[in-house]
Amino acid sequence: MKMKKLLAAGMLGALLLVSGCEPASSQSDFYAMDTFMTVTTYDKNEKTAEDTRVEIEQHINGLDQLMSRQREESELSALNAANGQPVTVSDELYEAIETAVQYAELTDGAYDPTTAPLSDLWGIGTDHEHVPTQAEIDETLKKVGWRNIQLLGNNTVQLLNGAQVDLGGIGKGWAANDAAAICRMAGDTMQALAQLGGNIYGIGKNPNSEDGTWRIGIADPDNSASSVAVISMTDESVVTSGDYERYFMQDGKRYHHIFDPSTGYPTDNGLRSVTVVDTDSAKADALTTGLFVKGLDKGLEFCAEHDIKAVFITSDKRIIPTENVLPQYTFMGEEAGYIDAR
Amino acid sequence: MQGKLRWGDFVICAVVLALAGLITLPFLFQPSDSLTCEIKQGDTVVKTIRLADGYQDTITLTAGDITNVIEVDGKSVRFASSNCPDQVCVHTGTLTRAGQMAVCLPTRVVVRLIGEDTTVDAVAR
Amino acid sequence: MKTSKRVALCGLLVAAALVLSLVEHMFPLQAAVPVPGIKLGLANVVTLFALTRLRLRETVAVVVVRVILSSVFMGSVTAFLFSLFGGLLSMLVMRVLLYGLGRCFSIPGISIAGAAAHDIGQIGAAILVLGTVDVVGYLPFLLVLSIPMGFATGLVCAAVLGHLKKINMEI
Repeated sequence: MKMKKLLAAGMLGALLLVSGCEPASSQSDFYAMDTFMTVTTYDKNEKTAEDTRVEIEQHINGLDQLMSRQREESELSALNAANGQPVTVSDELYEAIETAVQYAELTDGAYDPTTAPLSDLWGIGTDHEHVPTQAEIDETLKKVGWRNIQLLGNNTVQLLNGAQVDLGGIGKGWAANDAAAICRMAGDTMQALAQLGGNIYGIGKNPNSEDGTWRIGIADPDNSASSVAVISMTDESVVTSGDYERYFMQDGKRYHHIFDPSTGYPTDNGLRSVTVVDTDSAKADALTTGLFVKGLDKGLEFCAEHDIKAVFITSDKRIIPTENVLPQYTFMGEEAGYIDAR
Repeated sequence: MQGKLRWGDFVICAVVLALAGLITLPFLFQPSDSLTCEIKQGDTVVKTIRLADGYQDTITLTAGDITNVIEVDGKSVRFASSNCPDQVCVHTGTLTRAGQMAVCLPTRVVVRLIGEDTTVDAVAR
Repeated sequence: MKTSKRVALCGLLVAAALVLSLVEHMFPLQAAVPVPGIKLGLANVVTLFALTRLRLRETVAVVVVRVILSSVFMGSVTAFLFSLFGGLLSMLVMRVLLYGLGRCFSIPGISIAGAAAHDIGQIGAAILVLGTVDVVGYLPFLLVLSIPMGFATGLVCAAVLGHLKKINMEI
């Protein structure tokens, strides 16, 4: 009889052992804002995880309807089609445009939400990509300039000189911030990883790593599937902009999609990519473009001045992290021939 | 009574436990090696491949008049070619580690590597 | 035992096994222990009981009919194959071990072996159906669990057999 009791106790122990407390997860892939997105949520409660994930997906689709320049029926398209007349827009769109203008000002126009006519002219990533003539570029540049966006208050926006607003430079960051906010509202036990294109936000602790941090790779510009450095973070966003995904080659020269608003040409200053780590993903999104256009030296200066955590990768294969990102930074680019230039 | 435990019962338990241990062993020794390639188009998983040295495969997927050619060579996978306008999928390069991913937006094809040994949770690009 | 009595007993056992499966289905152990596919395996009690009272081919019939009917009631085709493989392998192993009943093995011990064999049979079927050996990784877990599960169902069976003996019921 004693034996039986012992076995029964063992049985109970085995039961308890297997019923550990791994959080339930919910993952989905979807397409929005012209990019591929993956959102994974984790929570003790399986239903909370799933509901939150669904809410994030729906919210992002809603933002897309609002902010997309490609969708003809979007609110932004209505503003762009208004021929310079003042247009009253929703709170959300007004706030997003205001934010874009704020970062344009902060970066002295290096990030500029009005470069869309240049993208259209060059057609990078489309079947009519080409190097335009200088006359065409000069003509298009007349429409470019964030100062052409007039914020008139009361949700009213006016676009001067034929300017067109494109929120592609902050849209995914904006969406990532909202995803993080939705997760925080879902409760303290919510953990999530939102990959919105190359725009990544880790919310709460990573249940799959020992130290609870999310490990975000910085893409190798020559083979962007693999990474040359890793940022460890929680409750932060990592965003990278580079010249290596959307580009075309002509006469041995690379023409990519990050335009210098002052010249009308793709930025050509020896940088391959810029990564920014920040709790505000929209800010990080805008600053990666801004810092890329500024170039390494001015970019580093800007980071020091505004306490921005950034990692620069140059075309001579140096990887330069700013001082304040070092505690979260691991160099991994040796194999791919990169130099750790901290 | 038939309910009374005999020596053989312990042999049975021991054999069952030994069997469990024996099966676990190979998994303990090479857990990080296993790498699975998942190819998705839209919401459907087109193919799942357990990657191994020497394995070769070419998968062709189409959407409209766009064709993606995905090449599996041993433990690496890449978009070998695509006639999509943006070429982002081809530019992504070769996937060799768990957690890596390549996407062709026009055809909605996603190729990702899944495995235990993830060095990164996501790649910013 | 007369043939008619045997047939009646077969039917009775199939019915009992079905009820036990249904009960298990209604109160899934999976809710308490988050391991997919985990079951106490109460139907095992019936198989073991049948083995001690009926001929082998009759027991085979009981197992097969029980698996078919329970799949019709609540399972899919793949679940049917898993249960069939598991059920038959478990029955065979227990049949062999019953030769040593009382001397080397007890009913709970044999039940543990049966539970383990059931898991092995199921995973074997899964390998055939799914065409991948990956599912084997799941087996150690199930095997370790089969010890408490098999022991519990074995105790039930031993109790049933003991009571039948006490009331001297001739079946």
